[in-house]
Amino acid sequence: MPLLAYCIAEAGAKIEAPSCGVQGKRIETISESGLISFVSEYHRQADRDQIRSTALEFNRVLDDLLRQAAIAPFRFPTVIADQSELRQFLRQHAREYLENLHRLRDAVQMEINLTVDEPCETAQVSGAGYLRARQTRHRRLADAAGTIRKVLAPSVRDWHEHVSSGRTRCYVLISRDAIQTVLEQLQGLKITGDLHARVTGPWPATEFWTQNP
Amino acid sequence: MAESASNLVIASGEPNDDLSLLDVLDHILNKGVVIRGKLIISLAGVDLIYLGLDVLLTSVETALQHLPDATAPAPLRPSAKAEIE
Amino acid sequence: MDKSSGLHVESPKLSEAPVQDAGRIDCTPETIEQGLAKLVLSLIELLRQLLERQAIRRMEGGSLSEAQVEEMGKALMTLEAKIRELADHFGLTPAELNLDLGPLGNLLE
Repeated sequence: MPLLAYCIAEAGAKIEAPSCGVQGKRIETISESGLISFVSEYHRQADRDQIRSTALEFNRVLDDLLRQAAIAPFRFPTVIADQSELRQFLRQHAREYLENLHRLRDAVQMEINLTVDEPCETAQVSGAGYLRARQTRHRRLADAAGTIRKVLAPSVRDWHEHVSSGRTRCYVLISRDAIQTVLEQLQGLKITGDLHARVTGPWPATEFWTQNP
Repeated sequence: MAESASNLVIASGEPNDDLSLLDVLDHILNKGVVIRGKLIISLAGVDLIYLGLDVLLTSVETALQHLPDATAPAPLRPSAKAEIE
Repeated sequence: MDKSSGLHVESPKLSEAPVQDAGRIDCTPETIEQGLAKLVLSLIELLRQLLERQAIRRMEGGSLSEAQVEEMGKALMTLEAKIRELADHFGLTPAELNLDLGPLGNLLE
């Protein structure tokens, strides 16, 4: 019976899986090497709408679990033929997962996607003008990220920024019980003009995972 | 979804619009543990290349086909590791 | 590449196929072309972003003359326009070329 894998958690975590997973199937627990993994029976779907709603259900299950403990989510869809493959994986990677899940046990990550609008097409822009406009954009994004980081400072356990063109993604590691506080603090921010901020989360703290602990 | 007087959008909670859906898909399709990374590249219907990489090259694009009115999200970091992203 | 070339080929141990059908990518002439274009243009766009950051840094450093700033800006402006044009030709949006390198991005500063 093919199984859909949801995530990995510490065996010792106080975590109660929702009774139903995707496709209305029961969620089962697999224990191995101090870790637990959640799976459910899975039937491959051809219908696009079905797949989309399955993906959303999958995310709901992860959300439910994340409220309770740190999890390492599987990519969707990770479908395994039977338990043995999963058990082997858990055995092989036990140390890494146990250390990370323990370190991040009370943590989640919030994400803030900062963007700045593309400048309007002005007919003649000099080279220097262009470069200065670009400089301003970089600075606005950096300043915005800096401001947000300061505002959230008491709650910030760790902070990563991914900078690309016209966009900076902020990943904030916070404690699970700081979520409401952080959302309230963000709500109070004034982001204006050509700057935009989109806050999502909580997500599992995958950005702060260390490969070789 | 909560919006303040500024250009800040808080999309926390149940995804109830296309953009939130894309956020969710971005996370579950492109991040997360991959148990094995076997990829077959086929040319003209003939399977040719087997790659031991955990790269799902078309996952988001495929997902986007399921959303007729959605636009492409900001591109994502391709997975280059066998472990969690 | 075929099996006789020494490449170890193994059937995936999957009884169910993921969304794209057993992790298979079907290369047609169209998808190959666009896939390559996306890869190449993404890399060029990455270089452009690095150059832009460097140019700004040098401009801020004050070691450049106005003429040099003007020339650098013009070159970058032209580069950006060219990338857009090429991307457009292949049906790619600028957003698709905007790679998020994650932690690697910080190394490139």
